[in-house]
Amino acid sequence: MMKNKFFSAGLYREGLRQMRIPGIALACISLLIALIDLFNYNGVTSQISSTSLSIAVILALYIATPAMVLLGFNFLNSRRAADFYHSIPQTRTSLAVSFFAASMTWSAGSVLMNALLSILTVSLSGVAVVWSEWFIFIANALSALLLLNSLGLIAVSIATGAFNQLICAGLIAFLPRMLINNFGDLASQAVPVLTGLEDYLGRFAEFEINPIFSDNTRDMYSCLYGVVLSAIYFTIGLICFNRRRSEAATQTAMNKGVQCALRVLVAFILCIYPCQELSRCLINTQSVDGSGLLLSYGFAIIFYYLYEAITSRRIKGVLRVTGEMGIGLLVLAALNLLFIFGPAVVANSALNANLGPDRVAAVVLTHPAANETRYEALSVEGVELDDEQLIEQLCDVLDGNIKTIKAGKNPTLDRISGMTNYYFREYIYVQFRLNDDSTATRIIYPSKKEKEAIDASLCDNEQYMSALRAFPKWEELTLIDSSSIVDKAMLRDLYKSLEEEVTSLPDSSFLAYINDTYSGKLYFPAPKFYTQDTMHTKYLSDCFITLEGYKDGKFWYNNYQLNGYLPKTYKLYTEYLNCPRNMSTDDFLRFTSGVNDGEFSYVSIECISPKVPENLSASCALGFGNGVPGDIDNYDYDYEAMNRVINDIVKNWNKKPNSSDAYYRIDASYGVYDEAGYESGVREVFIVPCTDVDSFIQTMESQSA
Amino acid sequence: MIKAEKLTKRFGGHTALNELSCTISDGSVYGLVGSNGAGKSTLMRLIAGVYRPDGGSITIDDQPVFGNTATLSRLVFVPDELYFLPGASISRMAELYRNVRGSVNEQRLNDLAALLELDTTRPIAQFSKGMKRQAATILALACEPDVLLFDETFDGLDPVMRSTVKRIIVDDVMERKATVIITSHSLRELEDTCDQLALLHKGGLVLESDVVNLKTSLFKAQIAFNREFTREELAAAAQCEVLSFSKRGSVATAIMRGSREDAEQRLRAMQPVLVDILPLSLEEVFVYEMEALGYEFNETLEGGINDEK
Repeated sequence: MMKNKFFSAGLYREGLRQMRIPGIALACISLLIALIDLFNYNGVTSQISSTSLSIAVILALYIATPAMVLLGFNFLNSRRAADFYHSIPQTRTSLAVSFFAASMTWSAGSVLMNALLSILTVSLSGVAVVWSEWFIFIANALSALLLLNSLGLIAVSIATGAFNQLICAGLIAFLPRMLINNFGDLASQAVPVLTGLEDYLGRFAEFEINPIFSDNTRDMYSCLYGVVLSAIYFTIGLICFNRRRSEAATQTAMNKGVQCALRVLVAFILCIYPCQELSRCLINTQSVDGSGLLLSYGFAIIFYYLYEAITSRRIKGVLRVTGEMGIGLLVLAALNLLFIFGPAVVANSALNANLGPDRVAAVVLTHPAANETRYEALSVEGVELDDEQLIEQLCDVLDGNIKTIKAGKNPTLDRISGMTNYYFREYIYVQFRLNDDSTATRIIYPSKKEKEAIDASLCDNEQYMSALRAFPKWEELTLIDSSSIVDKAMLRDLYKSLEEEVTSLPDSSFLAYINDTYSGKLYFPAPKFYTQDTMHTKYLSDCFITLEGYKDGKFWYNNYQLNGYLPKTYKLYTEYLNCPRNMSTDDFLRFTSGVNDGEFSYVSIECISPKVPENLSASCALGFGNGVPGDIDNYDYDYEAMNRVINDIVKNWNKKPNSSDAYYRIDASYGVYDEAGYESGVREVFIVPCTDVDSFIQTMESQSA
Repeated sequence: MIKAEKLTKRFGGHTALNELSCTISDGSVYGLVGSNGAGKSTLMRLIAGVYRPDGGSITIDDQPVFGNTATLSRLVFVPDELYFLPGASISRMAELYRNVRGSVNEQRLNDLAALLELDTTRPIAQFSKGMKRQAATILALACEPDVLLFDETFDGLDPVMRSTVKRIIVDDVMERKATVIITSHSLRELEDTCDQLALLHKGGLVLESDVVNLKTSLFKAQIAFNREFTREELAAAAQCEVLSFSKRGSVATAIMRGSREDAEQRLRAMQPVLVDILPLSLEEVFVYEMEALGYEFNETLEGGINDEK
């Protein structure tokens, strides 16, 4: 009967029926929350996160799917049921596939239904649907559902009982990466030049099953990875299902070996902490908390036996199979030894590896440091650089870092001369391709001078700069967002201006601009305020233009802060912003000298002018908090210069700057404290012509002295 | 024809069936008896395709059973521990059977349910033990398979219901020429239903024979002469095999295998003082056959004789 060999419509119908309770519950909840969206959708551009699809996916993944798989395949846990299903005229494959399909139908069907309704909601609100974003999110969700169902098939095939099956599925899902992460982290914490996960997984490190392991649901590669992994798990599950004997329904697992493996792995999770401590002790020769270790290992041994007792439901049975349990304990001990000594071996190997310039043929950088979702990072991915000077610089930095580690110090930290505080150095991921074509990936931590030298070498490298300077094309974009500006024509103008200004920046300025952006120096997060009457968030511009898109199937997004590097675009932006200015000069003076009781204010003043030096223009702002200049205790402010700036602003308050003027960008948030003590106010961003750039420069230089 | 050849099944270190061979003809009602742990249910599950044999083979019309959907579609297995979906009624179970087997004769199911006064819409969980067995039986019969396997199905049924169910099964056999295999602890239960009987003991087939043949092949002769005579003389005179011979006074009691009529004629010709030829019950037949094979009967059918008293 070939028709029953792989799939049976009758079994599928039966599966749908048997899984109907969690399936219908999921469908109803998905429908309900999607309908609620119809009335509550506020038309924001971040479409998926503001609809209920994410909630529907979470429910499907973490509650409904496990329930359906356990319910549908519960016959494997009962002798009577197992005998029945194994005596029917269907192949085991057909039975497994049909029930698997039934579970997928309920969960995927609910997610798709919710997605369709959510898309409808967005469309009805007049917002253009970003189809690619929806498609990729849904694809990721379906990929994750496939994976969970496949894991479930393995779990029900090799383990018996809901508890054992859930544990088994969890172990398969999370343990491999968790162990690799732990192993890698141990080594890289001791030797920060090691990259951790990437060293062991290579390209696969960046694949995460969205949305199980990551909330980044915009990556098609991860989606495909999930599908491939699902196919592998499904195949394994089918094989195990076919091999599972009906009589296994009376045992704890498919066979004694599987049960032993589950016991060992569950107990090993409890051993991870002591392994980490002992490993650190080995690598860094630090002391360990003996009592803590004993306690942890004690719990692990107890749980090792307890697990057998729980799953077999026999206390006596636990004691009876001592021989078999002993083998498991030996395996557990071996795993412990691997995790104690392994990271130390890896760390030691990294410290003693010879990665001198004479051995390195080429390098690949992720620049700036490890922010792989930026367009530039994707553009330079895979660009091999064989510049000898650059290679030597990178090798020297690495060598210096290793010497620092060997001296017992931390290469990631640096100190400003004369200061007591430390700050974290910037870092660069470097993949060294050696002369024998093998590769070694390291993170290097250059000092400020070393970084400047590296940047200078990169600037001289035409191939690298050409890749790095590639600007996203309009056709590549899936989103352009600048907060309050939604008019497409305005956005198009802003994009053109942005493209023109960014691409015409000199290489050194471009590097400084993106470096500062990555290091967070330029980022001013937009605070939210609740007005007393509406209790809704009132957003005004935070002076970013965000571009998003896909490059070679990988999602990227860039936030371009509009500041002194991009004066034309900034000006255009503020013109388009057209925010009403409610603040008066009296208010301004009060906010920059001292507020009244019950009031709050935060004022930031930038000066946009070619006269402002680079080191001051984009990263410095004159800031006031509740009328007090920021951090005045530590600096010798030039108060006279500061007052001149304030007066200049007041003098030009009602004037509009023309295209050739210098101007101040004033970002002010102000209001009152309500009865509960929360801030309640508004934020305004506006520009005022600047006619005294020198005073501003003087003030900022006194601040940074 | 169902054929088992050197069929072996192990569970861990325990061998439940050890190179068992037997043949079950089409259209017969085959009874399997044996004590607990003899291997009856294991054999049934092997025939039903639930277990994969560890050695030997089990075929139906020369087609293997395990994993063979074509063969499995021809049989229905009613196990000792019945399975029903939680909260299911007979109608719901019929739907399950329809989904997994392809078809169920609804009319036949309803007729049988009416005959046994079973409500097809009531949850089976509310049925008594006997009613559950009836429900399982009629569901199996409604599938109209070529082979029916009943594992201790009659346990828990009252004598009237047992008789009714047996009649239904026999009618099915007669009508559709189905093959039926029934297991039980009790010989008496199978005596009037089965064509063939087999006795299992410790995973092996000890005795297998046609029921009529079993009943008529052995007989008891009580004989007395006015002179001494030995077992061998008796055997020679009757030209029969003497399985058992005991003497009390001048009266000898012998269990003999052979032609009863001929033996009686020959013995009467010897002009004994007393001669009585008596039939044996099936249990007695088994006892003597087993003793002839060297087994202690109580060892093989523990409590089997005493169950029905």
